[in-house]
Amino acid sequence: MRGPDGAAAAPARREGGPVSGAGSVFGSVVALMGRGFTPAAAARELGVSADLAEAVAAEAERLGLVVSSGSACGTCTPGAKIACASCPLSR
Amino acid sequence: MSAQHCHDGPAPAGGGVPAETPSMPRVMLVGNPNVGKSTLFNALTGARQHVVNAPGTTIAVAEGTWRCGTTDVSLVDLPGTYSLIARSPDEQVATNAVAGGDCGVHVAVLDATALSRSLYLLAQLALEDAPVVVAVTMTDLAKARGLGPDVGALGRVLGVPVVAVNGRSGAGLDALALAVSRSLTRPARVRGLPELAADDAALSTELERAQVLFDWVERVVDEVLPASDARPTFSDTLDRVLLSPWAGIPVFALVVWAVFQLTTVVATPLMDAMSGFVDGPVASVAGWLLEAVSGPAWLESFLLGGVLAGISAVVSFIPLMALMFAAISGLEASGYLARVAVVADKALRSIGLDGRAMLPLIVGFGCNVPALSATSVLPHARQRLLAGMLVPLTSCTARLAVYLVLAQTFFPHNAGTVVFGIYVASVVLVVAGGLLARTTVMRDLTPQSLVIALPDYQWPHLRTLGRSVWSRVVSFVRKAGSVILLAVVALWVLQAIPARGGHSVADVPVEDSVYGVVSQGVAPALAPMGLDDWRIAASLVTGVAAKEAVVGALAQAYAVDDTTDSGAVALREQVRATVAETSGGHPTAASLALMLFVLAYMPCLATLAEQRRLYGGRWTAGAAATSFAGAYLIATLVFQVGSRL
Repeated sequence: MRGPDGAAAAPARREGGPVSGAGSVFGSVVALMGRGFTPAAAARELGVSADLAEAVAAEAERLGLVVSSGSACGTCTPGAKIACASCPLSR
Repeated sequence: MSAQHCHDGPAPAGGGVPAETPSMPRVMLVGNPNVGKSTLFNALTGARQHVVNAPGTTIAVAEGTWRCGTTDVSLVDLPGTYSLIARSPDEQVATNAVAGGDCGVHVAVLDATALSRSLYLLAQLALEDAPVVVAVTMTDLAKARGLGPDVGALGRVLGVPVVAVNGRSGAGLDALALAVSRSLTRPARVRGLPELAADDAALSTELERAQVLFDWVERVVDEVLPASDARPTFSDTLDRVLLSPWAGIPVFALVVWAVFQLTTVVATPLMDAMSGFVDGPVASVAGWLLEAVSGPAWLESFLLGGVLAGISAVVSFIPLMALMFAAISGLEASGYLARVAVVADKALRSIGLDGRAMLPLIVGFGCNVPALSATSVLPHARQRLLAGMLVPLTSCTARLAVYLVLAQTFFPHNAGTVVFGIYVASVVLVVAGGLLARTTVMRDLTPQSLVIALPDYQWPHLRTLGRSVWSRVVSFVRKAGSVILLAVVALWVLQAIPARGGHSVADVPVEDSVYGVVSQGVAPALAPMGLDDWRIAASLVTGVAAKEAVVGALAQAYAVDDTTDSGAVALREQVRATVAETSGGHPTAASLALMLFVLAYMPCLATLAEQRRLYGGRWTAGAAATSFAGAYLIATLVFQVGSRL
């Protein structure tokens, strides 16, 4: 099975990556997200629930390991902030 | 169970929550936001509740009295939090309350539709060695989605009472009261967690603790949730193509080219029509009204040549911006734009640049000012500095307006492709700038990858899309409108003040005005680019204030007042004639040089001010000077080589 980036999907639970703790579900999910997996895709790849992967992604964002595309500059209100009107990532 | 009247509690003593009434045990509701805690709290305590501010904060905390079997308890509804590692004042209140330790029982409210996230908080609560009873909400929703947890199994795994509740219908509330009253005398604690204390030195980092706790959450979820569907979805298949290193960038380039083609082909006639409407019927009516009131000549000149010219410039860009925003909003809502950051991350790291710089750079293609704020995602100061110096090389939407006018003027059949080429040049400049910095002043940086939470693909909702486009257009009109209007009014004033020739104010040829004389002094510097004309020089000088004002300044300088034809068309014809003359018969090369110069010569004043605030005057001045010199050299090279081909 191949991952979204075309690379061979090795047993992801043993991967390292940006987070230490090889074998932990937390590290595995974050590592897969670093390869371009969505949390849901990482869940399918690892055989865990999507809800768990989403929770890992959310906590990883809180810990500063993951960024959300919609919060790059700290605000995301194209209507309220004039300069954000043409931002490609604002919602 | 009948609801009890709330009583006034004493003033909060500290720790973030109100002190309990003596002899009444305290029970706290702990849980993620939006799990139904407040609904449950209302159902348990009745409609009359006491709300106090946590000490030293403006965070409201609700307290009430709850009858648990034969015991009255003080029930506290803590602010929702996703983690006991607080990231906001609300979360800090909840964290302090849990850490305070003076609570009989914690009722952990778990959301059955997002069990893992709730269990993570429960795990942190358990590490505090807190007595716990679990209330599971949203079980009906979870069952409808096929996610219904086995509540009985959950209780066996956790080793504490687990009750399914529904705050709206009242289901399970009696069972919850019974569980809590029993726990007050025989407290239960979650079992199965790793043997570690809350301050275990071996797991001193939040990251390590999260890894251990999520492994525990996974084991619990495996026991209580049905197996999930592991088949690849359409999103997975699409990502296999769009995120691959070979297809990702070409596909993105194709998408961007298509967007420019669409907007230029569709927007051009609309832009001409709108500016023609303002410069035609509206200007005629305004002129007639001024004649009717017999206003002074300078007022007519100011209103028609200044204010109306500014309005025309703003109005004419609305169709273009609306189409661009619709394309951007659609791509963003579909989930595709976030993928671009992943694709670019891989490409950047392959040349030694940090992938995390992609987000602020992408934001920069909208506007450079918030892009500078976005550099805060980078953890190290030098990385933020590098990204902040590269941001002005990203071509913002304000510059797009200039490219479009010039591309329509000189390349009417290939305007979209030419504009796309300028954006490619912008990317090349960013990469070149990054490589230059990495090999000189930023050699010590270690590039790391960007880890971004990608959303699933989805079809954009038309109504949401429409609202997004509308709010963006309104914001653009407000920002660009005020900038352009201010600029053209200021330019009109400068054009009205005579600098030579003995003319009177407001009755002076443009070439003899302050505006004209200063611009004529600057123009010879543009000769190597084939652009030695005071009107082009004037528009570039104005562009330092704001790029949106460049086109308005050009129109102002040409003083287009022929209202029998579309103002935009007449402007394009005059610019074409001017550049053909200044370039010695090579307008194509000169127009490309002009667009490249506009791309890189100077950030706008707002960007410069933000850079200075973030990085200091020395770096800002150095980067601006380097950028100007680079833009001058590139534009000169393009013209000198292009005019000889």
